[in-house]
Amino acid sequence: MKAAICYEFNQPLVIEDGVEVDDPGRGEVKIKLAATAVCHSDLHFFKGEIPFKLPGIGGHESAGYIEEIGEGVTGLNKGDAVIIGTVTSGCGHCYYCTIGLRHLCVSRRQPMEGRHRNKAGQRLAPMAGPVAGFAEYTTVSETLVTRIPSDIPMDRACLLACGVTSGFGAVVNRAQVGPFSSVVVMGCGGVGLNAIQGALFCGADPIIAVDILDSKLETARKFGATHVINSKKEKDAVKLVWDLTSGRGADYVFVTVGNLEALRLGFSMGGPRSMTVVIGLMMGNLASLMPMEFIMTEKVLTGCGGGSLRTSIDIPGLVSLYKTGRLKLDELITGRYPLERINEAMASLERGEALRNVILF
Amino acid sequence: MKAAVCYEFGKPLVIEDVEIAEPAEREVRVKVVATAICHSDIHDMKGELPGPLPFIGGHETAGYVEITGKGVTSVKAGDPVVVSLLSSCGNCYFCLKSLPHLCENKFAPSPNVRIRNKKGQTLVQKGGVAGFAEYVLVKESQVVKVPADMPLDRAALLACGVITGFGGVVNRAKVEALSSVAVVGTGGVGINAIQGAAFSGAYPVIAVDLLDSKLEAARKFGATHGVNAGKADAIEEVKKLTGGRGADYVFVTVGNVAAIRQGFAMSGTRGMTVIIGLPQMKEMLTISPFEFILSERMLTGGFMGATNLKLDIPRLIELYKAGKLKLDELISGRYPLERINEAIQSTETGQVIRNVIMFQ
Repeated sequence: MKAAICYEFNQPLVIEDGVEVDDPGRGEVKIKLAATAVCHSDLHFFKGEIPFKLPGIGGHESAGYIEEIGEGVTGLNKGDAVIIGTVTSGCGHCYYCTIGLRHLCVSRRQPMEGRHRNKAGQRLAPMAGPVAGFAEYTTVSETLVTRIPSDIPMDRACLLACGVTSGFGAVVNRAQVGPFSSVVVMGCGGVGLNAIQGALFCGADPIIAVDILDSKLETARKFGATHVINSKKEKDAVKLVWDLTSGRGADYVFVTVGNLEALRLGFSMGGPRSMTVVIGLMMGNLASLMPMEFIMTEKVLTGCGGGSLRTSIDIPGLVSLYKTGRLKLDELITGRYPLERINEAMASLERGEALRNVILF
Repeated sequence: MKAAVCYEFGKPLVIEDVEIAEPAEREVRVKVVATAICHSDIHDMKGELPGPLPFIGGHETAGYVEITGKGVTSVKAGDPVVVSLLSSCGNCYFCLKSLPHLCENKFAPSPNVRIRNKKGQTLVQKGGVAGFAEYVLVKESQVVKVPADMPLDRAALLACGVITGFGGVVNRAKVEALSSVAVVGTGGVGINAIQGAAFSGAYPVIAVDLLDSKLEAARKFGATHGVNAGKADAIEEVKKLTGGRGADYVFVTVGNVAAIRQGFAMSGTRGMTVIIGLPQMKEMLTISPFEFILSERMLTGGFMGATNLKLDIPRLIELYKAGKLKLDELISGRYPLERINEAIQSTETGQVIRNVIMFQ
């Protein structure tokens, strides 16, 4: 089979034929991939911004069909349409699974051994998540797989594996935004737009989109933003947010860009008792928080991984919203590429031109 | 009236005769019976928290209403009351949401100069109370009537130290039964966080301090375990006591960023760390955002125990009377106003929970 392999940071991926993948072991399934979207965290890994062992295969926003099931797998059959993502459905036994937070299952941090081998027989570790979706086939734990109806187009379904759920889930599951809450979304890329449509779905008002590109802010309006702020052009974006929220600051701030300055700016936009949710992956430390700010305002700073997803509840729910016209997915896809042109798809995402570029197999 | 005035940071307070104004509309003048010394009084007197001089400190106060201004309806002359630094307008967004401690108008100034010294110089009321004086002049929203049989030296403690700790647990974090709790620092606020956690049914309730004597005292207030952070790796100890996960709730009652860092590291996945102790203004907190994403931990603050005075003070008094809230044990010493500098010094040694200034 073909796969796109990262041999060196900051270099184009190498499309290689003759790659092999392990047969599914106990509790595993082998997938024939139909579509994998390119996410910003793929780029972070390929650039070496997040330390990782090479060579490897990226891609974690995937949809495909079950090719083969391993021993002990129940509830999945050959030919089932599924999505494959980074969020686990959990071991079902640990503390977090027992209290209903399966995405925090203790098994999620187990070291990931590569299931693919290149022609030379070298193991290829999955990058930016445990999926290795930039390959024609992959083998993963059944806990990363969620069955979906066969009538949803796979290029759109794959977006539910990460981009959509990271944004929508942060709003709905993590923060549990209620009607009339004021919401700020920092960054209007693939995740930010879905935070915006999540906020709209929850009845938030106002929904304030913040970005540095007017074109993205225009798109944000289509996804439900009631107000937009270009933080590059505006001198005092914080004051604008306060003005839009009766002088109090926003109730919720979602930081979808992986940038410490954006986090600092976003935290300042939150009012007393507000919650700021870190979503965008950022390395390094933020050293400019005042303890007094926390005490006097009782603001909450927290984070959200993978939309705090309850896979077997949320994925079918989102599919249903899409089918009934209440979730935008078609509009999220900027371009479709064959695996051979994956480097083009990534370059376009990096230039800020694309919401999501999808690799089709 | 007599008052203890701070004219210079780091110097003893000056006991002198000062003038206090008549109450304006919706203000109340209270004859003080007891005012406890809080650690933030000491920070103020040392100049560690910014503010103008000269001032009168003291904000954990109880006494009897002497005279009420126009429009006051909730109390009348002769009523025993607790006096707090929390004031609220009753009409803003946060008051309407029953979060009066976050009132948007809480810093609205009084229309009048309330206290002057004999030279006519204005004396700032710290926290809008100035309880180290024979009388205080405050907004109606700062006083809550208490039952006549409630001892006022113990009632005074409810105005700040008790609610900040107890309320931090019960109101701000809303700790549930069987949650694990760590309290960093077991002074006047920490020990009340511990009794709040015990009251809420938390288990384990882990007290963390540097003094074994304080950890012993913490056990009497409901701590199930004590960790001496000077002798053991406190983060590891807390993890061991919480199934390897870290605590569900951590309350940091010590005012420094190293303690906040340490407390945050004690919290587990989805754990909440509540900053209560106030570090010096110049101390900045450093965080790693990535940690927040992986663990979905929460970092927040608790201001004055997120207290709604009108609800919480009467309920705490009921608990005290029913033997479910320790107040007697919080008082280490009682001093007349003339000996306030002694009382402050003794508070600074760290062996004291609360020293109370008693007025005749």
